[in-house]
Amino acid sequence: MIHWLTDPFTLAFMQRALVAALLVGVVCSVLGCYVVLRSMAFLGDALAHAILPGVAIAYIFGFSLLLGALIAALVVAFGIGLVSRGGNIREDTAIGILFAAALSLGIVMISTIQTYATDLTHILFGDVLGVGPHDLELTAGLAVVVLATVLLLYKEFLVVSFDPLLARISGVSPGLVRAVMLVLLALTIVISLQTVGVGLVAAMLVTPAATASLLTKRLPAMMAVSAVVGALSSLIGLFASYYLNVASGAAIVLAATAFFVLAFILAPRRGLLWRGARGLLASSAQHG
Amino acid sequence: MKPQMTRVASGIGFQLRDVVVNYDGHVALDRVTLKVEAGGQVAVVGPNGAGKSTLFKAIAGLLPLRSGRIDLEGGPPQLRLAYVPQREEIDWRFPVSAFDVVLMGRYGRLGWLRHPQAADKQAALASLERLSMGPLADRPLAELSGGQQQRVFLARALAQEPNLLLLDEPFTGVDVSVRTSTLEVLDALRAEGVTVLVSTHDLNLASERFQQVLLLNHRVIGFGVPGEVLTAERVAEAFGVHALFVGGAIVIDQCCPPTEP
Ligand SMILES: Nc1ncnc2c1ncn2[C@@H]1O[C@H](COP(=O)(O)OP(=O)(O)OP(=O)(O)O)[C@@H](O)[C@H]1O
Ligand SMILES: [Mg+2]
Repeated sequence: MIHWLTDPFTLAFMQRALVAALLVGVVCSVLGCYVVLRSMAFLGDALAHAILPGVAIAYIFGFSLLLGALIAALVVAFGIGLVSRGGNIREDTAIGILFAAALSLGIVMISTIQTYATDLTHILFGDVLGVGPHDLELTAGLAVVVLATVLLLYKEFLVVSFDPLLARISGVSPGLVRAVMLVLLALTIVISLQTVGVGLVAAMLVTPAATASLLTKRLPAMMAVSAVVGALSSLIGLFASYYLNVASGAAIVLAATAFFVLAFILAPRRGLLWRGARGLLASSAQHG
Repeated sequence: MKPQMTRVASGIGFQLRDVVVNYDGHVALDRVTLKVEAGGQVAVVGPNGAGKSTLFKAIAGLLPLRSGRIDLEGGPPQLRLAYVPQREEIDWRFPVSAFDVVLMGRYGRLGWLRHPQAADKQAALASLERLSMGPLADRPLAELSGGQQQRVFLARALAQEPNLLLLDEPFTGVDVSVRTSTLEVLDALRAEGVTVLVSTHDLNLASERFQQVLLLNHRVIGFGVPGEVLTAERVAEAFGVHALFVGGAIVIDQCCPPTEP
């Protein structure tokens, strides 16, 4: 049993995969708390798909896919901000337009690449076993940047998310905080590219945080529980990917979903089971 | 242990001149002009949609003015504003405790990147205790009753140590005890000289407990001492219904639609 768990990690590529998967699991889940609380899931999903053209360009010209994705994500994030700024176009509409345009552009470009089929699957659904040493360095660097920013700006993120009017009165610009969050979201999506893929990043941003929200009552606890759920999901997904040879992203997301279902049923006070039991107790009390 | 009083400095006066605020083309505030003295307590009354909340947001600098100007005594650097929004504007399920919410009242004096210090936590706790919410400090906001939530937001406003306090409908949907403690806080703030604006739908409260009343329906229908502002004609003009004065109490008579001029 122990061997079954430890053996894979004698291999260098598995060690890299482990570190990358854990980093991504934690970063997605922590930032995901704000995504859930501020209802930014659609934005996250859109950003993730919108980086495809950047990846395609990077692939065609042979430079780092992550770098291409990073630039594309930042361009799209600011594009959304710019289009919806005037207030004439609602933000979700702006997201929808840019999202579809960038995704289409990405598919057109990738279709022109001869060997696109396997690479596209990797981009869409993740290939954590293929994380190279350079990718890992970039992933680790960006993960530290995102986590450090979330910690440093805890107070600002909290007040803008809970009460933007108080934030403005207190001299914290919601627009600026939002821009910072968008950049962090873009960075997070980019480092998630290789482990969960663009198709499933949104799930990693939302599912562990939603699970944690069922189990906790304060934001710091929610972030901690979310990070643990994200890390465990990544670990489970990694094993599944190694032993069953399935796409790592799908395996990780399924693991996270399993945690969510467990919490949904079993959560103290808020879970289905608890509420059901209380209903039964109440009705039996009524009947005598 | 006697709760330590939060220190609140005396108030700031301000003046609105011909203030116009629009939402997508329709006028919410129409050439509003008024002057509130430092330390004054003003009740703002008017029908639903009259622009009470809009007025507060404009004073707080949260909405752009279409035209006109708002001048603060001594200029903006002197302003320490606290604004308690109407219930509908708050996300009650957000994962924060009562204490977390009140501590946010201290953020304004911290600035970017600085975290709350022991003194800030003490001030937050003292404000909670001032509203008898000390024992519930660690309760999640979502698990408090409506009246308790109202107390938390009032406590947050006190923790801000404001010189201008804007309370948007603090008496709507609360029981007698919350109403009483809110009025006690208002009395204490009056003694400390803090300028306060309170919007309310309770005309009797406005006329009994406030030195000044602003009767608003997009424009200023009346502003001054209650006896002069809350007259039958003006109330009818603002609300479009007849007001009866029965033994000193104001009763809005809904029976007869107003005759069109
Ligand atoms: N965000 C908004 N967008 C567009 N119109 C708005 C907005 N907020 C308020 N209005 C409009 O502006 C007018 C004034 O609204 P406001 O909320 O200030 O009224 P109020 O006096 O506070 O009403 P209530 O007693 O119901 O709280 C109303 O006609 C309302 O429909
Ligand atoms: Mg209002």
